[in-house]
Amino acid sequence: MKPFIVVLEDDHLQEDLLRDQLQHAFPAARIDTVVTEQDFRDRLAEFRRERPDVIIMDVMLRWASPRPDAPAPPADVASGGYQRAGFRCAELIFRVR
Amino acid sequence: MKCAEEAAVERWRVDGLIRVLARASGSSGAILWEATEATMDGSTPTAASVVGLWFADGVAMPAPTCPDPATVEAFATRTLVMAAAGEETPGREPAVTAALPVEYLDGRHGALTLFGHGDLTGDSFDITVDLLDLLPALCAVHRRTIWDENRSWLLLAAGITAFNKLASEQLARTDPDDQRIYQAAVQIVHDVIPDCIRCDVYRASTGRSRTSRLNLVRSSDGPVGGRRPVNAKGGTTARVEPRPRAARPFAASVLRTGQQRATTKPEEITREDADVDAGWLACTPIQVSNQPYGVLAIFGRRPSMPANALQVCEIIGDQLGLYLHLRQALHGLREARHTLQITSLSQAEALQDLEHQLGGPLLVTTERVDLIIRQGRVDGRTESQLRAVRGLCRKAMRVAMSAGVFATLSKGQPLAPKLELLSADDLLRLLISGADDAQLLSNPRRRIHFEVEREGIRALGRRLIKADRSFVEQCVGNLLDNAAKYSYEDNTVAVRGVADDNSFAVSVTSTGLPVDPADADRCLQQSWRGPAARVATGEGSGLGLWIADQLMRSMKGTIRVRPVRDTTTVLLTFPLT
Repeated sequence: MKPFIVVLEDDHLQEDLLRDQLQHAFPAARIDTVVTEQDFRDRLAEFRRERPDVIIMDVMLRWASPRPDAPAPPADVASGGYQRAGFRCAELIFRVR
Repeated sequence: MKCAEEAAVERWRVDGLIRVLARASGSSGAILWEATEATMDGSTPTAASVVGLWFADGVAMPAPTCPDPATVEAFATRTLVMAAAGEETPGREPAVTAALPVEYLDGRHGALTLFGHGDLTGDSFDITVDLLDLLPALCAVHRRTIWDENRSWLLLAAGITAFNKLASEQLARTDPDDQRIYQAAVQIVHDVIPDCIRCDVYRASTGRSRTSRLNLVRSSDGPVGGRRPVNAKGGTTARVEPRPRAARPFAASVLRTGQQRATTKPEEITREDADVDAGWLACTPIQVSNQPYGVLAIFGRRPSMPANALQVCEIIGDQLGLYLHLRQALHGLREARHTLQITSLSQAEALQDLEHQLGGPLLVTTERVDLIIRQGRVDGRTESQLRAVRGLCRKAMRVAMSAGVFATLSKGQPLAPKLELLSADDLLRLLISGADDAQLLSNPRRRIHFEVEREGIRALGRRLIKADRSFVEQCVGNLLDNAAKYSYEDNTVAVRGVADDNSFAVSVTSTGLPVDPADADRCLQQSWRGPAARVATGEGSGLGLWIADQLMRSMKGTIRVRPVRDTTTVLLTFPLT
């Protein structure tokens, strides 16, 4: 059975390196990358259906990439800031479990 | 209207008093006068006015405009004047029979004119005269008491004003002179309470505990522990050591309870200090809220305590408490500031050391990688990875340099640019290198393109700018980092040159998270980040533009942020040589 690994990292340089190293260590693994907290929340339903075996989660994560039409972040993100993004995502995952 | 009503009530009362005096003396009428002006010695009024009058029913007498001769004489001599008796004729208007001097509480002279139909005689008249004779003395005593009390409050107000001024001066010093404050407090007590024979200021010895020992720090004799010159007989000066102070149970109890106390019991006073011959003792705690600092003790001569002594004691004790509390707080703040300065200095020095330790290896790595790339002996994929490594090393060097700049500025030291003359080609190489690094390091999925418009840079022509090359690299690198962080996807970050007669500007323009025009100047402040940037884009210290501003200023240049809706242009302007 192929391991399913999710990498939550907004720095593309580190994400690239991590992906390369993981692919080298687990050639058969499926590796998905999530680069923002918003993307992670958007994919929560998907992670409920198909649970990852491992999530490598950055703690400090941007909310979203700059976009002209970006909505305001939710209240918990605005108050907690990007420094606690990883912890928020972890709590969401635990609720899913 | 209210004043008129009050005046009418007052007049009714005075008329009532006059009626009582007149009837008591057997008179059928009376007029009360007051002097409105006085001669130099106050003996003869140059004008007098009627304060009130009363006449028995059926007698109609208009209020006279000036006093009769008997009244004038009473004003002048300040003695009872009996007028010549008139014939007793029923129906005839009553005539003046006597005039008595009256002293008002405000010191003004007055007179009471009595009217009748014959000589005023009998016990009732004699009693009235005696009463009016006594009244001035009673009024004088009462007036003196009021005057003394008013005077003491005036002295207290003046004393507190001077005390507060002195306290402000002392608190502004790093080493306040507490003895001057205690001396001022003791002086106020003596000025305001003339009966005071000694005033002592005690300080609690350790911390702010109510069980602390009390140490006498100031007495009416002077500061405790020092010497006081005393003039002995014959004019020679002898030096006297202050007497040792034993435990003060009364003062100690005030410190313990935090409550003011006073006593006139000889045994309590003797227990407090057997050497002082006092009739009363008052002690007040020197404290702020529940923090005790000491006790103020006052000894007085008379067997009874003056009416305002306790209140005055409390007021001065509170002032002392406030001064000591503020002094302590200020001392704590100064110490905290000193500690923070030392901490900040040591942190800045640590940062500078780290910059030095990081900068060296990074520089060497960059140079070596550059060498490998220039040698051209690697394949395309390896070369692109080496370029990425070189870009990362340069970025790391910029971060290390930012730390060094931050540390230098934190220590209050100026930046020291190593100025050199840079031509258009030098600038172009620098800008292209920076743009290449930014491109290599940017996320390819976001498709942000970095472009240097060469013609604009070449507009510098043959002119030169005087700048520190590493500072310029740092500034440009910071601007390109910001552009990469905040730009929308599928956009171009344009690097241009703008030349005029006196200056040359490098501009970096990008389209992304908008900057409020009101925040354009705030962008250059230390640690400031816009609200959208803070939440949406993650990491960032708010130092990049501030550091760029400091670096440009050190080179006599400027940095300006010009936002127009989603497009932001940042200009680095250099003076031309």
